Amino acid sequence: MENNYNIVFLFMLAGAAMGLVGMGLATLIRPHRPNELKLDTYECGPKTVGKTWIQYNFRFYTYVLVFLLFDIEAVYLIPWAQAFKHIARHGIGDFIFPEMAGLFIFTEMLVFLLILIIGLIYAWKKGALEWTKDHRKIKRMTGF
Amino acid sequence: MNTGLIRLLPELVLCFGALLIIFIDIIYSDIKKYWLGFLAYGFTIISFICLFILGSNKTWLIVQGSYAVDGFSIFCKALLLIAGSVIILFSIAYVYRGMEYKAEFFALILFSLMSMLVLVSSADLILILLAFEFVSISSYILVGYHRDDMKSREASLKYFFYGAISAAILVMGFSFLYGLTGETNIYLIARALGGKTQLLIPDYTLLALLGLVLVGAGFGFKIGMFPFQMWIPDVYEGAPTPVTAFLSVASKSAGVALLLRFFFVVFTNNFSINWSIILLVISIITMFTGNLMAISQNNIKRMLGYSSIAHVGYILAGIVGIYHYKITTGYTGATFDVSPILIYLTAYIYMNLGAFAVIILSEDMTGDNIPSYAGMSQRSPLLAGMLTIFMLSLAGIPPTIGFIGKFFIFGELVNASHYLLVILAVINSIISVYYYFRVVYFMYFVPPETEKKGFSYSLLTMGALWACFAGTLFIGISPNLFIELAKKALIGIDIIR
Repeated sequence: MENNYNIVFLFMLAGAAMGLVGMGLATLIRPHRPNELKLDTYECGPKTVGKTWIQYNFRFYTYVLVFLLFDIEAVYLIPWAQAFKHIARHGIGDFIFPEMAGLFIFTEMLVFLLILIIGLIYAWKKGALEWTKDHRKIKRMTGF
Repeated sequence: MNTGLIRLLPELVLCFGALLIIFIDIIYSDIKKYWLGFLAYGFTIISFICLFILGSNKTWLIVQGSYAVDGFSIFCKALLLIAGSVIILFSIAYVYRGMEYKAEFFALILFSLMSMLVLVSSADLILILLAFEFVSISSYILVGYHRDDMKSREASLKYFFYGAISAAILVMGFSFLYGLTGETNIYLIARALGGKTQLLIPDYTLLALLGLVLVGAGFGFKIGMFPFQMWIPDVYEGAPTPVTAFLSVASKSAGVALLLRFFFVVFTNNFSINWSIILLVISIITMFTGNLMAISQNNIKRMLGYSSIAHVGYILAGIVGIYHYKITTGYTGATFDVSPILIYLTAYIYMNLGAFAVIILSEDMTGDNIPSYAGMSQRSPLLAGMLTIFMLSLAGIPPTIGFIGKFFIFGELVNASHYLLVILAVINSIISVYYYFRVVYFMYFVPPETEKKGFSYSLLTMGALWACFAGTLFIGISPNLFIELAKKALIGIDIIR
């Protein structure tokens, strides 16, 4: 039996090698002159303020949920687009009108997007996208 | 356009209904939200009508063979839709009395119902997993619907953890089956495991057994089979009562239907391992666990939770009987007759829904504890009488539907000459009489603490209650009509494609 996982292993090996070889070469040939500024934690240019181990406001979680909605959408759109290219050209077997297959699949995706958009409107309308300081509202939103 | 897709109409109707309810909730924020309950009820009825119009004995395999619409799945869908619509009727009054997020409740019930319909006819590992998770996730939210109630929150979290782990186990089992056969369609997996096509690994028996056990564990969580029954009492107690009814009736029936289809399709067609021994032992332990634990319960929802575990034990015994009958008679036909289990499920749905309807109606006046049902016969003779009938039915005593269900299961076991299992099941039925009749004892023979009457006979809940009552007694007294209907619908699972 042919073991297809060998390819995956090779792929991982090649990926690791690509990073390691680059960094290893750089270590060998670069000049080595450290100073305090260079060794400091990098944070977009400015000096770091406070500790990095901070607690995030839990109100972010509603944003994360809404973000997830569209993250998943993108995940599903890409394979759909791949399949669409193929099916719109060749059609699939059990369609009565093979030339309409593309339209049908396009409508299916529109329905999917519509459902997601209803979800977004729902979250928006219920105030999940507002950064409120009203504690009663926070309690209603999060239950805490 | 795609010829088979019209068969999905009942599911699509429910999905559209749920979305419409959410949409109305967004647009008209000032309407009386419990009206949306009637809308949800209407959509279950439309879905039911669609199911009947499209219903036929023929087996349709649509969406590239991953969705099976046959007599079995249509019967299960009809049961689920009946249960769902009755539960929506209960919950309208319940939601109206004070529950946050009224519209979402009905939308979630519809979504959950839709995913159950998908679950009972999916024939592909991916689709099964998707529907399984959909049912679970909407149930987690519904269980934790009383957000200010610690018990409800705890129940939701417990259910979530159990559900997440069981889904992981289920996927593990699926991965073994997929790894062995290279297929995700259950009919193709069955062909491969039955030796019809070349397997990827020649010596597969042990791995297939491992897959079977893991998949069984995943399904076992949903139906509350023995080692995975721990969540049931806590979740049933903490959840809002209509949701408890929904879990114990609809969710469990969908799980049983899925288990039937999966096990009878994948693991019977020339499959070499006799797995009925495992299921036999589990069913005995499940029956005893449910019945013995129910004896000491004081909370009626917890008691019904344990009793539902016991009922799963009887159902598993029925599965053992059917499978064993097949082995002993050397049956190699294309269709499995699972009507005893479906009749039992019907009985279970009617009587359990009825009991929960009474609990919902009397909850405000009595609370959940069994001793507080004292003197119900004087405070509300009607409810007390009805609850007595439902308890008779749950215990399986003759003029009720519960007896008919047990009769067919035990009859199947006698056919398969599993006399020991029959004796154990009968012993369990006798044990169960004690705790069911404890409720009746408190209602009729213990004087009430207060003379307060004033039960809220909500019209809708009463209607649902009368429907369950009529079903329980009518099918119990003259079962012929119903059984003819069941046989005529050719309730069988096609195992060969």
